Amino acid sequence: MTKVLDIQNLTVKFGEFIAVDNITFSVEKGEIFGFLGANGAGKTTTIRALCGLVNISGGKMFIDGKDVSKNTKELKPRIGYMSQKFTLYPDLTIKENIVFSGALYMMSEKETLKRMHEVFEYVNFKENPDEIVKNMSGGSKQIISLAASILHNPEIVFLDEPTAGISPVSRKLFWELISKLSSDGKTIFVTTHYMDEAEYCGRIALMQSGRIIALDNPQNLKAASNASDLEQAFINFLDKK
Amino acid sequence: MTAYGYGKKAKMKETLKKIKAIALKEYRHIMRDKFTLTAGFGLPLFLIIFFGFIIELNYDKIPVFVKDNSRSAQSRAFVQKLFAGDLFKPSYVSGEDPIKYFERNETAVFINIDKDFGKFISYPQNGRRAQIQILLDGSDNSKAGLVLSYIPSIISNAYDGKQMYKIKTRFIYNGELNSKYFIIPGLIVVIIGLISILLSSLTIAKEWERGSMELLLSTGISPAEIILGKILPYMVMSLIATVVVFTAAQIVFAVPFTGSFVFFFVSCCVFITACLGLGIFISVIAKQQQLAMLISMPVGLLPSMLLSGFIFPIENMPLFFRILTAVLPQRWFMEICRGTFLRSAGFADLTIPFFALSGFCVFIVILASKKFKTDIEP
Repeated sequence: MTKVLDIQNLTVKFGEFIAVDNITFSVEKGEIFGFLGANGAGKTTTIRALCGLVNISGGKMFIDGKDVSKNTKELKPRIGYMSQKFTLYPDLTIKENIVFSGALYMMSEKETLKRMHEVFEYVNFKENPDEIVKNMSGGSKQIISLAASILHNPEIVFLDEPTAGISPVSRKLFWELISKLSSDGKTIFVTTHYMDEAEYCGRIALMQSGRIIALDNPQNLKAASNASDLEQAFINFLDKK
Repeated sequence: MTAYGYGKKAKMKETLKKIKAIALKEYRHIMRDKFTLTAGFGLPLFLIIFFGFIIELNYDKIPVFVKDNSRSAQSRAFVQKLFAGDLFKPSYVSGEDPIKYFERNETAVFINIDKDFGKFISYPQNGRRAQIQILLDGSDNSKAGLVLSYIPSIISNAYDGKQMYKIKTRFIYNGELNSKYFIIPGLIVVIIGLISILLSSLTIAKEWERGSMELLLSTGISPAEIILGKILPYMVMSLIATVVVFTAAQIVFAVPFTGSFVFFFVSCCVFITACLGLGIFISVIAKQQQLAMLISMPVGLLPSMLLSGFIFPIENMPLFFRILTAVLPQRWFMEICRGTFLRSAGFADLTIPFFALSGFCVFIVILASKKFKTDIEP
């Protein structure tokens, strides 16, 4: 397997506050890699650092062997990023938002819309593309955001709590889409609060106070902490610390 | 698939496509936002008409109290000649100390006619001439200055220059000394400057507040591409606002335009870009709409009103302020606007203001791009 992401001793500080504290891990091509942890554990900051959106204080990050800090502009088109917050434009229609996102990745309107329909069809999303986004449910907005982040066929997709606020049915479809992307060779880096979702991940890193306290596949994590499910495993690891 | 290339031409194509995408998105925001539309089109029209009517530097019917101690036919004739026009509104008073009238703010001008006025007006004797005393309320110095300059010339004209002063004044340009001709071109600068700075100051801050800046920056778009993409639709909007204000100046206030339209239009584009750049710079620094609005109001309004030469002449300012005005786009566009409107000036006459304005424009757009933070954490 090829290492797509290689993170060595990554540290991110904001003033005195250490958001990410000397973490080291790597992610293989086509893997679904999960980040689990409470709010403030450093999951989002790590993703943002990998997307070149925050200045790092120490360590190295490589995507496909290229230093992220030195090749940000070149690497950005190769990644897809879906933020925890809804970052599209509420006063634009679904189609306008998607076409805009595609244009920033140099895609034509035609190919953008084709890709949008593929994604929407896959997750059984039935909203009218000419509808203004403002009036939509949180779940619909998440699906539009996901579509916008994978339009340009990125090699690595960073998803920061992608399923927050969407219905259980949509969640299941969402994860099926993520699994499909992975089987197509895309590398998925995902953070979540839902322990049942974490089971879909090939490997999981448990994070606390900016540090990785455990990293393995779900079965091994459960076994190592004598837990029957991931939630208990997470609690047991926290207790050990 | 994505169409990224590595040649110079491909890079340029990529940049243009991104700028176009931002501009189109911004155009859609503008068209769906009632506040922006009202501020962009309604406000300039309202301001030019409102300020055009209330900023009045011409006076008429200034109350003047006259105490005629002479009570002669000559003194009455003198008063009649003095107040023949509409500039003054005379009232006869008697007895009371003139200072009392000033204290009660009943008048700003008091004319005291000497008791021997009638006797000496036609036949000065032994060096004695007819005397009048003019008392002025110096607390309103613009009115006092006007009266002081008008009365001697009126008297001089009334007596064919024989008895009093002989003052001859001739004004070139704005020969009627109509303050509207002076004020309206200046107002165009104030209004377009304010609107451009105000509207653009919100755009980047809005992206930060909404979180959409995160999306934009994750795509690898550069600050310059974002800024240029945002300037374009606001440029069109501000140009339309300029046409509205220009038309109002012509139709409502009948201000003549005597210069070169092409030069005026090009200068407008440069001035608008400079102001939009300034607004975007504020937005980049503030990152919050409310703060951006708070900064852009004084930045948009105060230099235009106080330091552009709109009301107060730059040459009368202390050295520090004269130097300060040199870095204000409003000051240079004020010269271009008044020059093209009133003095038939073109590029050859206004080279320095044009290049100063262009210099500021380039400087502020580069500064805004440099100050643009591309990391999203605090």
